[in-house]
Amino acid sequence: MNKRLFFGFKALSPLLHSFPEGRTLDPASRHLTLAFLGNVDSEPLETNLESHPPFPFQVGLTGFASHLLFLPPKSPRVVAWHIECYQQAKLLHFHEQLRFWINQQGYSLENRPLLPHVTIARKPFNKAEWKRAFSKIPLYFDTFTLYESKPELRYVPVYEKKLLLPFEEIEHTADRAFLIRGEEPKVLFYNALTALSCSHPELLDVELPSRPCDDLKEIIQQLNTLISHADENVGVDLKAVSYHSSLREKTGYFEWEMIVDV
Amino acid sequence: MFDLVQKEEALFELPKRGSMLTSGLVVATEELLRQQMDEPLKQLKNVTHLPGIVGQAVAMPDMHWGYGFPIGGVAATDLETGVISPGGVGYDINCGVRLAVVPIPFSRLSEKQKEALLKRVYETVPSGVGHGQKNQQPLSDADYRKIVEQGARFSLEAGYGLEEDLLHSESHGCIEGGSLDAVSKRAQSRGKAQLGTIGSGNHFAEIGAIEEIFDSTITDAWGIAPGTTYVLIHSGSRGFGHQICQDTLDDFMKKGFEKNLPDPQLVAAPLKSPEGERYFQSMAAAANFAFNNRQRILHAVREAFVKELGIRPEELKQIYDVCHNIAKKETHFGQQVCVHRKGATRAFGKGHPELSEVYQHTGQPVLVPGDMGRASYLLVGLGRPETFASCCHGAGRARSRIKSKKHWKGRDPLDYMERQNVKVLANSMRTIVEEMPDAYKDVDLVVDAAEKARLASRVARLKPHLVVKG
Repeated sequence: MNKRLFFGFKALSPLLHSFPEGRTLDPASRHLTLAFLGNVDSEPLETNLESHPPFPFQVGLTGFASHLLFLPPKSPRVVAWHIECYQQAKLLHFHEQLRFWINQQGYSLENRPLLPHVTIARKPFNKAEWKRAFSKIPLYFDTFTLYESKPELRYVPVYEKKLLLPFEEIEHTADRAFLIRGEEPKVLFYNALTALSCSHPELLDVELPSRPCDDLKEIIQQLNTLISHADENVGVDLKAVSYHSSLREKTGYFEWEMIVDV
Repeated sequence: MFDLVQKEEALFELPKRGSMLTSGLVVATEELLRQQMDEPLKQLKNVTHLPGIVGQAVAMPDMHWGYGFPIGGVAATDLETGVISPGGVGYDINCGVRLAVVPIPFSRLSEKQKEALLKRVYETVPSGVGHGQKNQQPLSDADYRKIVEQGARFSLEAGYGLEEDLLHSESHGCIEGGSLDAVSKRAQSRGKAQLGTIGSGNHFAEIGAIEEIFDSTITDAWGIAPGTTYVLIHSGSRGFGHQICQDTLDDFMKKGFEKNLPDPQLVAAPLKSPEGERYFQSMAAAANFAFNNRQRILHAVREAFVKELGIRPEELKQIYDVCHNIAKKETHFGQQVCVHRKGATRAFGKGHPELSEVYQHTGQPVLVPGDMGRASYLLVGLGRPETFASCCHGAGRARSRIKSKKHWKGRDPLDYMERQNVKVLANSMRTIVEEMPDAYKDVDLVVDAAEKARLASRVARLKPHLVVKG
């Protein structure tokens, strides 16, 4: 049976934002496209999906929309967020492995480098208005999905594989608390930053530290440096990330309970 | 989990066990003790391990889970042998409350006047994040130096407020010993446009009516009549204080001062060490920033009353300004100590030499904001020695912010507040939802416990009607 198929990661952001006029995509359908197969006989692929290449990460990826793309550039039909993924190298590696695997299944793909983006609207749109309304938006990608593209901008998942959530907000009586997950300290830092940016996107405008974190103390100190700068620049209702708890080692990743004084 | 022993009505002891250096003292009724007490009691137990602790570690009836200390925690340490802990003060150094009264019955204001007044206060007093003073120059080094050394007098001399405001403030609006040399440039930069701003979270400026008088001898002495309009302001040292706390924690952690303490959040340096002295100097600097902050907010509210109701600034009489996140050098049991009050208010009784004359005869006013719907309280301190003359600072949160959001999802919180006869203006709907009255304990229960334990006694109940939130 022929289906119009593509692989991608679901793109999620708890941050509420309004867009200019346009045929915007349902937020639940937003995705970062990895490989577009086109209209193909889906059966060989669907029977063999579980053999897809292993992920070089257990915890979902995080990043942010750094600017807008109007694609294709010569005669744009879609508005998309350009995605800066904090683990770009691992994303590119997985993309390569996936392409190789798809070819092994007997499908051919266009030979194009990955342009990490998330489509948000289709034409007609007013480019200037969209540019004016843009600000950086944090995103996370926790579900590897094979989508079937249907009419009316509907994307139906055919196959899904969940990764661990990079962060979750949890209960705290007085302050705000999150469970942060990551395979190494620098990933924990980025995932904590994404958690905070979901309510305070102004943190994304602050320059990131040049040196990656080595331990929990450094993660906390670097997050607090970002909070200080954001408070100084535009004001944020976060006081600081507190020196709380330790890193819990899980199978292949770490978990940290981050408490933010507000 | 905790074998509390009842000593008196609304007073329990957390017995000294194992490595604890002293016992704990918990001010609460049994009803309050049934509400989420495991974490704060665990924190109180941790506080008993502070080197040089004097007397008992004390928990107030509004206690809840905080950073290191429980919020609503009090501990005194010996000035010579003890330590000072930023976790015993909090991030928002000298977060505090200021109460003023206006000699007109609130019920006499028309709906139009109330609306206009609320709007004017909202426009005049910057609230929320990113809302610094638009027409104000950023603070210079020279300004900062005066703030740190003079306290609220700096703003007074710049034309913000009245001389009596200082007489009616804890420590006359200035904590001695502040030094700008102990403060980082980053802290200065973070606070430079934030003086005179409310901030966000649970900070507010509210106007309401003195709903009920419990002790007319005292209200007569303080010049408060039933039904009178009041102004209550809750704010602190903003980014300046937050950064000072963070800088100190980074420094203390780097130097390993958390070793041998049951929780690294209690990290504390000896008061007599260079690090301890530096923290005290920078903390006092932030405390003085906070006094100036509330001084300017009240000034802006006075301006709103002039513009909307023609009420002269001197008619808005300040009753008191109290700190509820601070460490202060005081004398208790004949000993010089450093009293950490974290989410707790000083509550000196009558005759205390630090109080100005009017309060010498009555005891100091203790301000206990409840929530933006039900009530706040004005109490008078009784100076109970075992608590280092302290009292509760508010109602205390009962529900987390995410639970509040879930609870109010799909409902109209502003409509609910209107039905409680409270109009609210805020920069963010998120803040309103997080700060709805049901996120807090019932302040009546908290004040009841404080009164039963003889920390303070009720003077008046205040009912909010117009609220500006961050």
